[in-house]
Amino acid sequence: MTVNNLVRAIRRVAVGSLLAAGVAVASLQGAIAAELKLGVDLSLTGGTDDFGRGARMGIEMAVKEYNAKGGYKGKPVELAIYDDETKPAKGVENLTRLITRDRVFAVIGPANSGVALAMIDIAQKQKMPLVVPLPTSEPIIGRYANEAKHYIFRVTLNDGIQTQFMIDYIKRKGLKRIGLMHDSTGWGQSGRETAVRLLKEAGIPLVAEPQVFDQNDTDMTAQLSKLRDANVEFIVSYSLAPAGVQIAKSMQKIGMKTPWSGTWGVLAPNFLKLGGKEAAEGVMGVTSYTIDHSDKAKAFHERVEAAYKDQGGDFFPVTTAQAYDAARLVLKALDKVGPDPVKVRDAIEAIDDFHEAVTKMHPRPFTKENHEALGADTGFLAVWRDGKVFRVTD
Amino acid sequence: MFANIWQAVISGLSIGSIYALIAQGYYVTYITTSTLNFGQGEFLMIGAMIGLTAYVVLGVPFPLALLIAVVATGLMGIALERIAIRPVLRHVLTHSWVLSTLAISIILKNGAVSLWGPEQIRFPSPFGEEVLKIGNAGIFPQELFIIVCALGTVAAVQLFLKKSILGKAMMAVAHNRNAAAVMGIDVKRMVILAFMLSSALAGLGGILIAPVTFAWAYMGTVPGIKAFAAAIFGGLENPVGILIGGLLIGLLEQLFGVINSNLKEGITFLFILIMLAFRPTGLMGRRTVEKV
Amino acid sequence: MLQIRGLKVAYGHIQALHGIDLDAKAGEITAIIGSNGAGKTSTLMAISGLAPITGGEIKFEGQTISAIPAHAITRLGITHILEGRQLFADQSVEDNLILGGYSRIGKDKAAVMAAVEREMDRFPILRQRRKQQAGTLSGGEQQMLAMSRGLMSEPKFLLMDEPSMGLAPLIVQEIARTIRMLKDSGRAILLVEQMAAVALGLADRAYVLESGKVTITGTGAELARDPEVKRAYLGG
Repeated sequence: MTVNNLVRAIRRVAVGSLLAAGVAVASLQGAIAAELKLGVDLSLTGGTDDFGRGARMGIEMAVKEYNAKGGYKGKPVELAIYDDETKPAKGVENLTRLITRDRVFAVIGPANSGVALAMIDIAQKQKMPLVVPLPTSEPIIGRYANEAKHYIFRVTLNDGIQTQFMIDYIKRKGLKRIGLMHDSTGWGQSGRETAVRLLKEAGIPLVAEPQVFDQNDTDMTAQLSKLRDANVEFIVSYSLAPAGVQIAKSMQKIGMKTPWSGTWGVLAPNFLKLGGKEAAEGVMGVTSYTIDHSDKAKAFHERVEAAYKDQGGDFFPVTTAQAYDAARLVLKALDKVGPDPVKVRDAIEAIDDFHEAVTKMHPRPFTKENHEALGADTGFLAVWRDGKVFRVTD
Repeated sequence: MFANIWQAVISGLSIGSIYALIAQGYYVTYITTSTLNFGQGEFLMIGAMIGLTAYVVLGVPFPLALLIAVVATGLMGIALERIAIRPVLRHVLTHSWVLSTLAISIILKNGAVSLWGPEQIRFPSPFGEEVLKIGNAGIFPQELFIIVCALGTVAAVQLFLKKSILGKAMMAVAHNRNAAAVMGIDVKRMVILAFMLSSALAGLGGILIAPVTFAWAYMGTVPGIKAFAAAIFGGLENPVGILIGGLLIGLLEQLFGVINSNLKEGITFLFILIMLAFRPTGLMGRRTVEKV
Repeated sequence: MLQIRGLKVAYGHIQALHGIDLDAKAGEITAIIGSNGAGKTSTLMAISGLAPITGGEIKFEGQTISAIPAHAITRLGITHILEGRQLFADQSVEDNLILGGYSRIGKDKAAVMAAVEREMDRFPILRQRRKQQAGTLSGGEQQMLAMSRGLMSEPKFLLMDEPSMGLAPLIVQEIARTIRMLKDSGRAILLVEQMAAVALGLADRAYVLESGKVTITGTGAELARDPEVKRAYLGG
């Protein structure tokens, strides 16, 4: 071969490669994945790290079991896991990397509502199915609900529905005198509005003014005394774990034993860490999963405890369970249509035979109109007993 | 109703005595240097975090942990004076110390976040969580300890300033630097002592309230502001006024909470604004009238 | 005892002293007179370490003291009784005296407490008012307290800045008597006065300061007779 021919050949290869790369880049608008990779973005450090770490265990377990059964057409699914440090900007960065560099077929995550709200725009635009296993803020699903193809799915109890389960419990127990407490954040205010509305619809009015507190308040005796004066039988509360602990301690201080329920935040391990076993004892919250709520749940709990003994075992059961179910839904879709994000999205939406959920999910968790897998009658009240969370059975 | 008020009083006294303690720190540096440490809240936080590390992480007995926290923040106060106050006071007509102490507070806050994270951490009370009763108001042993310790310290500091030679020398520097200097008093050393004392008071406050409020990087900001309000309320130069100011803010918060929980946070500051509009020098005004 | 050569004092851009020479001897009263702003107080403050020296030298008993901080200068035996008394108004008469002895109290507390009693013997009114706040005393009483406070440090050299200011003539005489007594006990006194007649009457040696410079110097009697001085400072 002459030098000229060699040079021409090299040039042709170079141009060809550049063209191929260009085509690949251009085709990213549809994010065609060639890899058998499942993307994961979670808060593994920072404020909601307990949630992230718990969820990760569930996802890893689901993938391990799937690969043990043969994976996809004999090939194992890989996990690409990134930490968003509970920072929205980092979550966005990770998602972009998962889409363009790792070329995953779906993404599970994040752990935090603020991060999620930043990520959904990209997932929707880049046509990457994003299954959200933990964040509860309603706009996460609401924002793109009317799109022809909605790419965001959720496997957790959203803010609005958690209140519904508290009302269900109140109705079931025939409680008439209800009190309400909430923090002064936007989330607390919207929780109050939801609660007031639902109670009115149920024909159960509040017997006292809703009591407000600052989320860093350390003494709730004033608010609680007012509720006690009104002889409330049950208190609905919207707070994160720290304020929840202060509520419990203030109730101890004034010798108040009124049952109360918070949202799922008071069932987080952080609540136990901050308050200790005595303060937590008897505190109720809303959840989709406890280790004892079904036989499947009991079995799953044992598996998690065994597999992750050196990481503290099943330290945050509901996050692990929800993420586990979320991952298995995605893998089920993968089984049907292969690693194509657009096709996976359609398949997830169409699943109607998911009988193996460990949460209370229905066999058909999603429809075109509904992307919330955990809706009515998939949640219930749970209670702290001796440092663990159990279903409220009475 | 009365029972609720009494509970509010007991609850309010506890946090109020912390405000009084921190406010006394503002007072000490203000009278000696006409400056305020706007990072006082962060020194409270550092006291709590160091105490946490000593008591919870290293298992040091609580009295020793308390001593370590107080000494450590005292030493940091010396560093503060050297870094953020002295170099800046050469520019006599500016208030650059506001900026420099604020800068220190931001640095401390960020440092704490990287060392201990942004979340609340439990600080178990060495006295346990059995609720005690005063009349029919409940109080945790830690809260009672806070009242006794904080108010006792306030009294001790006043005694020190009024009765001991060193204290009198510090008051002399506060009153008139030149006159103090020609008495043979080393003004520089007195200023350092003032900052050490002021910061140590904040550190003590931190380790006292941490079992009640949780220990975390952002715990100092609001108490720092409220203590400052207490100091202004009392007229900045009147130690009795400052003590009353601190206790009053703690009480008012709780009492307003009994009336209407929506009012709890903002009402105290509204009240102070109104009061300052009528008496700009604070409730207790000046400490002495000087004869011309 | 005290030797000043070419002393310059400046506050920022404002030059208060442009290079003055001055000597003060033990057992003598040296007076500085001049109008307001002439630099009299600056001279005293330069000696006691309270004013920024920008040139020249001050020697006390042979030792250069121009670079020593104020609190150390007191311990060398120089005490400055400040213009306008500048007592610690919010502290008691007794506490003011005790603070006057601060430089010695670490070494010998008993001696300081004895000195407190001694000063209250010198001015019995102080004993009467010992627990009162210094700010509540009359002008004359405050001057007595200021002098006593100054004497608590057992000084060899006293700097007195306008001790007669704002006082009734009878009290001024009282003060003058005390100053003479102090000189007789062997101390050196450098006296700054607005009331030139009083100063010149007391002085063994006197200096006239104008706009930061020494213009005339001589014995007290000489200056009292000098027509220039008479016209400018003695009312013709």
